[in-house]
Amino acid sequence: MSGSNPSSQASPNPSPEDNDRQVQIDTVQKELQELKTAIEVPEGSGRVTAINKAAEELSNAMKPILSLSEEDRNEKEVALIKEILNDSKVETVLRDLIERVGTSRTDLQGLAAEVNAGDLTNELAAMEGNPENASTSFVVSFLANVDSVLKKFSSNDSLGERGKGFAQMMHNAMSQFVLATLEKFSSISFFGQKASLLSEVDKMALAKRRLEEDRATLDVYPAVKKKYKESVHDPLFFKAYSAWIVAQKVERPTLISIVNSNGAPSTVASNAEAEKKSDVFPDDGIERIVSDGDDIKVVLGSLSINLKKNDVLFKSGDLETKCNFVRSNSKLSVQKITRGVEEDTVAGNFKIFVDDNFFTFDELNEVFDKVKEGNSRKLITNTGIYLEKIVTA
Amino acid sequence: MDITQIKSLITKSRILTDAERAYWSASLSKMNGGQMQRLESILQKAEQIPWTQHIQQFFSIITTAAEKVA
Repeated sequence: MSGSNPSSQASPNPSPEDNDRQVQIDTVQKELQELKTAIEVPEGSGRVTAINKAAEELSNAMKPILSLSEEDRNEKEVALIKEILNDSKVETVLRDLIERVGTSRTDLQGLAAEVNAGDLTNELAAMEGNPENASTSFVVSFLANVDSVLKKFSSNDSLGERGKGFAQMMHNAMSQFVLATLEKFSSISFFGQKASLLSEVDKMALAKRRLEEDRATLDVYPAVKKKYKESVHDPLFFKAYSAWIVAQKVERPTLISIVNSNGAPSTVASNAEAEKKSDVFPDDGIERIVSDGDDIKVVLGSLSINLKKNDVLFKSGDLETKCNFVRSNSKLSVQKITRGVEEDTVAGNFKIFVDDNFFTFDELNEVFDKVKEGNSRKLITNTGIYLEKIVTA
Repeated sequence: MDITQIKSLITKSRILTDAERAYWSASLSKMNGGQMQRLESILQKAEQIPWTQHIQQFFSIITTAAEKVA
């Protein structure tokens, strides 16, 4: 992204290109203003039709923006986007679309979990951050607002003391609904990537909040609560718990079941991973290890993957990363398409992060087909392409 | 059950990534009638969402711009 742009500065003699670009932005702004005035989002039966119509008009209005080069996206465009986002009617349309796409994708995840064992999305397991420092984050401020509303509601409970009665029951139900909605929101992905609609801090805040809610369920199980108190001090506990929350499992385990599965968060993640692998990799008598084989090197375009005896070298342009294998069911996986290589320390596997603007799925597929020829096999799942180097016993 | 129809829905679906299209295409052989029916229903419903390429690209821009605005 360019840090400066001539048209954004006080230039006495703008170039013809700058003039053209300014005209383009002005046109977009004008069209959007007209559209914003025209959008109507009624409640009731005509809502979906109205939103669909508005979305199509919005889509057409976006075309000129999308034709701008990346270098041209300077503060004027940011201001334009900000203006769009600040318009409630446009936001209503966009959020409605996100929710509907999110619902469909959640339904698909549920079906995938039934057809194949659902994969635990580990990509967020390594997230870091301190939600306490994020006063401006979306989830933190949203939850604070919800708290404020629900607190008033709860305090009006005329049926009994706080913590009991109909109002408290509604409070709890609403709180669960809000959390479920936010969790669904965090699961939406665009172009195969997790949407940044919720920041890492948001996700942590969400997980923390869910943990608080779930913890209340332990009150009726003193023995489990005692065990929870012991394991919660393990620094990995919250990390693994967060992974569970954001993974959007259709059958998310309860805190009780997590604590009862020996409490240790690493055990929780490992159990889920083992469950997944036992389904993806059937017990067919093939020993799967990544070692003792010949080196395999595959080069395609600017991406090269070199599988060695105990490590793997990824090279893409100036990016060169060497990773050591962790011998845990020996699987090399591509789970998220973005740039870089990261070690998934929770599951003990590797995730290769490749920018899909650089490499298309077909290109990566071709790479793995070539690797496969070297005594490996390729598996495609809903989270990406999995590679496994096989050495028969 | 019209598998050709489901395959077509998978191929055309705007809410799936390429990897997910490959996943669902490969999973069809493992699915029973009820599961296929559910897949068809989900994808048909999703087909009605005007989740156009421009809207998707716009979200991509929003994400980038939002980081700058924040």
